[in-house]
Amino acid sequence: MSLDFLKEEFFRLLERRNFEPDTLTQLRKQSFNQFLEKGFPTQKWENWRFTNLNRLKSKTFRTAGPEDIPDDIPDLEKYKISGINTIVIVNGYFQNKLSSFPEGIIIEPLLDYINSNPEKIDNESPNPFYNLNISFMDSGIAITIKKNTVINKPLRFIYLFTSLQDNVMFSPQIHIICEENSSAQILEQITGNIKGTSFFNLVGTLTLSPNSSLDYSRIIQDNGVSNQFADFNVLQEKDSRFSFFQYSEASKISRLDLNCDLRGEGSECDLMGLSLSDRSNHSDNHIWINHHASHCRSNQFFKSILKNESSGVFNGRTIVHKETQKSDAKQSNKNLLLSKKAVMNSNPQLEIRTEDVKCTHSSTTGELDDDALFYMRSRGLDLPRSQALMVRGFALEELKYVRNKNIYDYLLASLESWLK
Amino acid sequence: MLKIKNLKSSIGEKEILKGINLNVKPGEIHAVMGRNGSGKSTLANMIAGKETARITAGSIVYKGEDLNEKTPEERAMDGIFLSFQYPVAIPGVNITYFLKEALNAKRRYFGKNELDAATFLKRIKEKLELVDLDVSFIKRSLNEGFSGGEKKRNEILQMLMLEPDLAILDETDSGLDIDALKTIAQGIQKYKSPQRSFIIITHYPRLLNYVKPDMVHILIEGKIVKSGGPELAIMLEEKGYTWIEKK
Repeated sequence: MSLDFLKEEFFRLLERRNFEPDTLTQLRKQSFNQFLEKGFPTQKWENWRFTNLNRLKSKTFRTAGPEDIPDDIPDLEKYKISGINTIVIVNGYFQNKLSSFPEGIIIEPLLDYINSNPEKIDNESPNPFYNLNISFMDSGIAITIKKNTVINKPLRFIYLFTSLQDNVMFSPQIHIICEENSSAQILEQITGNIKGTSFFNLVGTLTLSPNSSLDYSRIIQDNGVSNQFADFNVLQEKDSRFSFFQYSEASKISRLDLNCDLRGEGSECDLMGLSLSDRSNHSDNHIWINHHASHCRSNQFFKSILKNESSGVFNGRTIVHKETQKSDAKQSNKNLLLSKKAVMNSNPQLEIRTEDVKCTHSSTTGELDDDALFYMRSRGLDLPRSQALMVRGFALEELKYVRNKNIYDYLLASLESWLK
Repeated sequence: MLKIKNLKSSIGEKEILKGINLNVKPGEIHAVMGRNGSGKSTLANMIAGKETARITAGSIVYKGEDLNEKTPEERAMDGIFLSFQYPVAIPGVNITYFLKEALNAKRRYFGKNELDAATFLKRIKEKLELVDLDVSFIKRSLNEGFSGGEKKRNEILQMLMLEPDLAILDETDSGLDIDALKTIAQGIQKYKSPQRSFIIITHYPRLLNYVKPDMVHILIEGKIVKSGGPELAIMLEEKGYTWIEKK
């Protein structure tokens, strides 16, 4: 994707959106300039060493437009998860009739939210994809969970894609504000009948006020043909609890940047992920936690299963800053290679700038254990079945952290069909 | 049931078994005793089909068929069971799921219908009681975080569920306290029948106080140097292995 092409697309976007207030236009322009200054990352950049973006850069992606509004209502039965509310977004367009909303939550379209809160958009990021998103942001939602509100039913927003044949770029944003003492479970799902090579470049900003709790999950199932980029920035205040779980099935290139700032004392986060990679696809999880306050606890636990010629990266970093006390930080990354040609780069790092900490980190990458296979075969299971059971077991060790039973069941069924 | 003739095997360049002869008839209990490194576990693994040791001479014939070309799962289908000395942990695979899969694989092999959930549960509850384990145990991942005793009870539980004709118990008694040892022995006693045979591999004669063997074989450096009745185990307890080695 040449920068010249992107420039043309950017000016087309500004023309199409000439109704937007000047503050927003200026924000886009500033951000686009920042993107142009940085350019696309190369493998010479420390945080992109193992991720080759040539396949993305060699294609051109037009921005989504009104022509992408679907003619007919897609069948949602396939994606049914009972006991939850769902907001449906088809090809980037919100579908009011297909959606159901919980009470106690304020949901605003992204652009309305930004117009009334321009200060909420921060242009500063080391990640050019973040700047690219702000430049082109086209859809998205802002969710506020009101003070003292507990939302028991999970809320899902599903980005559904239908019959897009050509290469399209989507730049959605998600803002979630959990006010004091609130609690919610939110699920983001990207899926559909994706045929063209789309480029989905998402930015998420999650703010957890004192004593709030947010359980955020992502499900990415894109037939392995799209490019999935996501940059999440999480700000946690005193005694807040954040849990993150990403289930991802082989995108062409998928990259997650998850930055979690533990700003308030006693805040906690559990960041987890299961990446299933196939063909020559590439999955990159880049997880960054900052302990800025005392008595905070963080946990990173990511697993990958790699088939065929797929590749993966885990780059986890936890920084425990000076003048914090009683910090507890864990990192673990486990990867299972199901083919001699699959490659994994795992790099868990702990950076401790204080003394009063409890930290552990571990990383393992390997094939299925021969002794375990023999054990299972000695009980009468043939080799393929023994392998399948072990791979399933490896994945379940991660999946068990999905607390909602219905979401768990949906993911278990997805996992089993991926393993076949 | 099992006829081992002049079995020699090597791991890499090292010869481990140096000509083993063993004949186990239906209903018999054979004890194979020996120190660490004498080749006991290699013998057990070779009967079950592990490929680390290579046969260089001789044969293992089970129910009239040479086992050499058979996979571990085919041997299991034909009724061979190995209780492992060190059962390996398999995270994420719980005992119920695993045993159901194994049991149904065997039932399909013999043209039987798969067991329904209720019958399976009823059956496993009976067996759990025999090895003194709680029903919550079968929700746990295989051997993960199990104590020594739990691992061995779990092996016996699987034996009771899978109903083999020939059970090889590789040091199932080591590392157990006296209560666990009695429980294991009780499991074996219950399972004994005129059609079923056992090979009990052990360091110590303790288990043989509860499960009386028909034959005792002493294995030293890959060879059976002495075979006899149960009295041989008692002699061994009194005099130690040096007594045999001196002879």
